Amino acid sequence: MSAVRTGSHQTVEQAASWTTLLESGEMSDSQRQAFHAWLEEPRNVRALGEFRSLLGLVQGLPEHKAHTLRALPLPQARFPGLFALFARPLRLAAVAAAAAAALAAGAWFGFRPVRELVTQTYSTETGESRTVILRDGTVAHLNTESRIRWVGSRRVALIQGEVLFEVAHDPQRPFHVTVDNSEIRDLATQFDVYRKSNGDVVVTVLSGQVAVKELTAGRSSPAWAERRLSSDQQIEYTASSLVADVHPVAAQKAVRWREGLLETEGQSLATIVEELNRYSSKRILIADPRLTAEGSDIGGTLPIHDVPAALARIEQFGTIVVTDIGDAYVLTFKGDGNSEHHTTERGSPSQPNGAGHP
Amino acid sequence: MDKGDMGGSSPQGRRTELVEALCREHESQLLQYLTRMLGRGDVAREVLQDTYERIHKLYRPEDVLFPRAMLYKIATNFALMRLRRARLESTIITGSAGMEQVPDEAAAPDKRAMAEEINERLVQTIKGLPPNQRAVLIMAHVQGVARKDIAEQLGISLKRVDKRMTKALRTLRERMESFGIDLLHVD
Repeated sequence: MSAVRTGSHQTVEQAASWTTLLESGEMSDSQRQAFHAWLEEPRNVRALGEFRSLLGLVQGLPEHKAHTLRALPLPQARFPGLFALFARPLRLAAVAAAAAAALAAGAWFGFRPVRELVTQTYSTETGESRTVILRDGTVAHLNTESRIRWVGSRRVALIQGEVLFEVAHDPQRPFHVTVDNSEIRDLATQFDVYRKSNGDVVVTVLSGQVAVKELTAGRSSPAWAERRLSSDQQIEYTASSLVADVHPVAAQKAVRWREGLLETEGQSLATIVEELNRYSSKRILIADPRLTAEGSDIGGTLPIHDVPAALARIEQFGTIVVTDIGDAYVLTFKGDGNSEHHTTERGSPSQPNGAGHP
Repeated sequence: MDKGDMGGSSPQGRRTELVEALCREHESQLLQYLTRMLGRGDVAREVLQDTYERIHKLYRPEDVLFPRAMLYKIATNFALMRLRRARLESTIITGSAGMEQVPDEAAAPDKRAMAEEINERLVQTIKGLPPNQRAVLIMAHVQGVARKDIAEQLGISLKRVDKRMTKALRTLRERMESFGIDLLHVD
């Protein structure tokens, strides 16, 4: 090997390490300085560009190809979670964080890995989202305030909240999710299940096919017959009836919470606020019925993990004023500075006198 | 729920839609990447803006095989320019397919075949990685599992996650090179 070869080999090795460090999000300021100095060398820049491009290719694989990779078996940890627990005391910051968490939420919370190992129950707090890999290799992305339990033989109970499942393929044994008295049976697919706080269940399919049915436990005949959903379809139902039968939906938009975003296009303000409230421990209230009456024209996306920023965006659309009253955010109508009077005055909620809003 | 009434728009309008959808889809990740690279959120935002402007001007969806790779390449380019403010003309990563070139209508089916070929080689190479490296790579970049969740799931340290990732990336790059795939000009 010539000296040039050795040099380029080193460059590649360094570029791979820098790429991993960049991706980890844990680059310190001094490391970044070294990184910038390293980038002074054109061949280093090229090598970094190659890895960036490689990551782009892997992340951008078309769904049917990505699917074959997801279906590969994962090496299972012998003691999942335990390592993380033992590793924790070795890092001071982590000890402090664990102690703070224990103080804040009770000691139980600080030992989540062990608790989860014992109970097979995985959950998230308000505003939190996380990914767990179930025993069969199925990936479950948990949205805010969600809880699932592995109940054995490829069956998961969704107790609360919303989870996006990427199911590991096994034609012999389909994967099941139960929510209250319904069951979603899956045949290798990606789908999202959301149990709303009012008990409605929304199932959205991103790819593949699922069957949804009511579980009657031998009582009577079900209120509705089994439904089949394929990609970009959605269904919403309650314990006893269908709220919205199978209909087309832009499924990718419905699961943008995975990226920390809420797609608002075509949604009413009431729906947007209901969604944001899921992520906020401080309530958001609509004080003026005129705001809920009309469809909103709030377009684009809102950051769900930064509620104040999301509300600031809503304010920018012109007709809404957000007031922080300490333990809640209150949304009022812009242009009549005395909306409190409006709501407390008797009568005519739908006919405000100053009818000149656009 | 979704109103798919875009049929009647002009080719130009359609292009703008595609460009905006592309930018929107990758915005949060791209911003995160740039912030990590540059170390400053405000500068990262400016670079993102530059990237969008460039793409609005020059991107032709029909000529780009891998939009994500292209987006990151352009963003990286602008970030590097920032790092070398003195020399504003960076020509280190140059020449992007679908940019500043005369469109070649006949090449479209060929290009699609090429994309399929590259993707297939990539998938086969990933499948051939040692299981430990493969798992880390797939979890992080196909399934979108966070680094700390990977460590927890596999019962290994963060450091080990990074080590396996670096190894996996090096092997992939080497294999792709041996197939004659030029990663710098793949988009």
